[in-house]
Amino acid sequence: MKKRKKQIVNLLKLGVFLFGFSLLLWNCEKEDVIEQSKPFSSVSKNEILNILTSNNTYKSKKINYYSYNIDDLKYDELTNTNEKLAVIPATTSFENLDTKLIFFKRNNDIKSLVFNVHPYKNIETSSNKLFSGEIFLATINGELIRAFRVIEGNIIEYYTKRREQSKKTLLYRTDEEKCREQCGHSKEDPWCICNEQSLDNVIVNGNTSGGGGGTIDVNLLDPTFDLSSSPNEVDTNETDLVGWNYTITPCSGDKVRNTVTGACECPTGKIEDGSGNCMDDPCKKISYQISNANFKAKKEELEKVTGKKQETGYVENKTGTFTPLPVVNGGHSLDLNGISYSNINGFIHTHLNNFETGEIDVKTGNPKINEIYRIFSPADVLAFLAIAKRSTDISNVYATVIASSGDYTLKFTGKQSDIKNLRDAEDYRADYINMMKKGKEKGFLYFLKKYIKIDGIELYKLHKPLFSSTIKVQKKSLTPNGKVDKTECQ
Amino acid sequence: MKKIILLISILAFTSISCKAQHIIPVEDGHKYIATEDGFMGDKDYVYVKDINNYLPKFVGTWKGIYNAKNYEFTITKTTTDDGELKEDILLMRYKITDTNGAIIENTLSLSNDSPFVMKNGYMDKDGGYVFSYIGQNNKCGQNGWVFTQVYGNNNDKLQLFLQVEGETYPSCITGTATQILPTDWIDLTKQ
Repeated sequence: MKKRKKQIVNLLKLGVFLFGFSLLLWNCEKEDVIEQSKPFSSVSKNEILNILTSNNTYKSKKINYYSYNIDDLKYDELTNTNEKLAVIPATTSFENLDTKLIFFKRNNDIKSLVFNVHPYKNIETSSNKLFSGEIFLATINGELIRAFRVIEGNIIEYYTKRREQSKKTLLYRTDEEKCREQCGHSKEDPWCICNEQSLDNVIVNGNTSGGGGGTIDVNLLDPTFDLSSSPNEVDTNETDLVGWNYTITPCSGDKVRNTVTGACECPTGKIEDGSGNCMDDPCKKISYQISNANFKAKKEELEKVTGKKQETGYVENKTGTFTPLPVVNGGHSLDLNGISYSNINGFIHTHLNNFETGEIDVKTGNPKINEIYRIFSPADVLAFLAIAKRSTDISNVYATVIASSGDYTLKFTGKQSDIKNLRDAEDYRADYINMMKKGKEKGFLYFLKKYIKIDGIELYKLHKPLFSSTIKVQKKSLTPNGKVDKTECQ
Repeated sequence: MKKIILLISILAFTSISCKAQHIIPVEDGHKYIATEDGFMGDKDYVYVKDINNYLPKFVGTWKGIYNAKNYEFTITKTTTDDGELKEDILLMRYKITDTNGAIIENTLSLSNDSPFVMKNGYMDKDGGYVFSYIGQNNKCGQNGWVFTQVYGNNNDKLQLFLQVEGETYPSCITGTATQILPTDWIDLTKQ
């Protein structure tokens, strides 16, 4: 909260400075007139209320585009004058904008402005405390008249009102690269002051310089850089009242807007899946699962039977009940045939310990040992994907293998429509065994990457740290250079 | 001076172009197989190398009879390298005929990359070699590990058996397959 306050203060400083400097410019140009007949003065609360109650409405749609509390009114110093600037913090439907309504009186004529700031990052956390972001200036009744893009205290570009107004929106969020390019934005920037819309883009030619402390030194020579606009000067033509009439596209699904970056993001505890929807964070989901009494009981039961010569397992139905999996072929594998994948969330089963084959080595007399890969087999992966493909909530889908050397869970965060072009499980056997020589986890992750080729299959290890009885969940993934990266779930 | 510069250049080039190679003796394979780290661990490049010449004694043609079937196995040695893992390995092909000479299975002419050529093996702790086995009817359970051991005064005998894994896949609709490889030790003689 304190940080936010500081940020607002800094942004306000920026705003005031920008505003003040523009007045100064105007002042310089018409010095004798101002000195003689246009003194600045502060605006009273009642005067502000009169303006706001008569202007804060879209004439076309009768929608308020900002909201405020008059009790939040405060008076700030106005740079280069002895007068005060009236400031009211406001909010708009643009969640990432820091908005302030500002008022002052010049030659007894009240000037008002909506000052919106969209920071690219928090000034307080930036290394040099210089502002980077966008500033949008609008008349008090919602007509966008100017915008600036500022990087590290320098105005890089500014945008002026188009001469030919259209009914199109002034501002909109878009991921369209073309728009961002036209606006001079980076690819990552979800915002776009698009000059295809209602603002003309003007490149600033060397008339800016960096400032400190979150302020900007502005030396704009554009004669239209008069930030104030008298209420009675506002063009009431509907086509002019377009900028703030725009209704921002709501974040899809469960997403919420990040108030700093402006990006639509999944809320805490959720991640974005391959389809762009929010799903429960697998880490959280697995942590919840291993604390669930029913699951825990099955897990503990299976942990006691990894020494058997036959696998044991259960499928978890969508109702939360568990059904035993039949064993096939002498118990060397479990039969998922005949199970309706659309009715289950996942399955949990054992992979066996190494066991003696019953044969004795002719030279040494030692028993021959059968080594077991105690991680998911290709058949396990395909069954898991078959469940994921049919699921109505992939957050719930899982496959768990219980083994004496460690338990693993698979989760799917990809795109269901990507689950295709898979071969029969037996066709993967040779490649799988070849990969597994690289290491159990590395080999398995390589197998997924090279042969299954479906993004979003995530491997988690359930482990107990030394001297701890608490099960921890650890995500295992391949680094770009082919190493196994482990990330502890928080 | 020119020589020094040349020497430094060569050394620099060598250090850039050569991956640090970690060598694992092939006879230590059992220590790595099915472990979390496997052969690679955190290494960039590993060579599972037959430093001590353990593999050649397996190489050759081996014949024997088991349960009224004639078995012929040919074992060859080769080296594979996928850019990360280099290995001296053995490949095993086989021909099985009945008492009338009718062919039950023959993989002798298959190429190295055929899944039906036994490979992906390792040396066990007894100095034997264990091959991954995938049969023609893999989907119905013809799969597992074939254990071999060379013995005899002149290394002219080979014992071999199949440890059936028997994983049956969903595509199997004909029921569990009969195993055609010996599931108990079979004695074979070098040809």
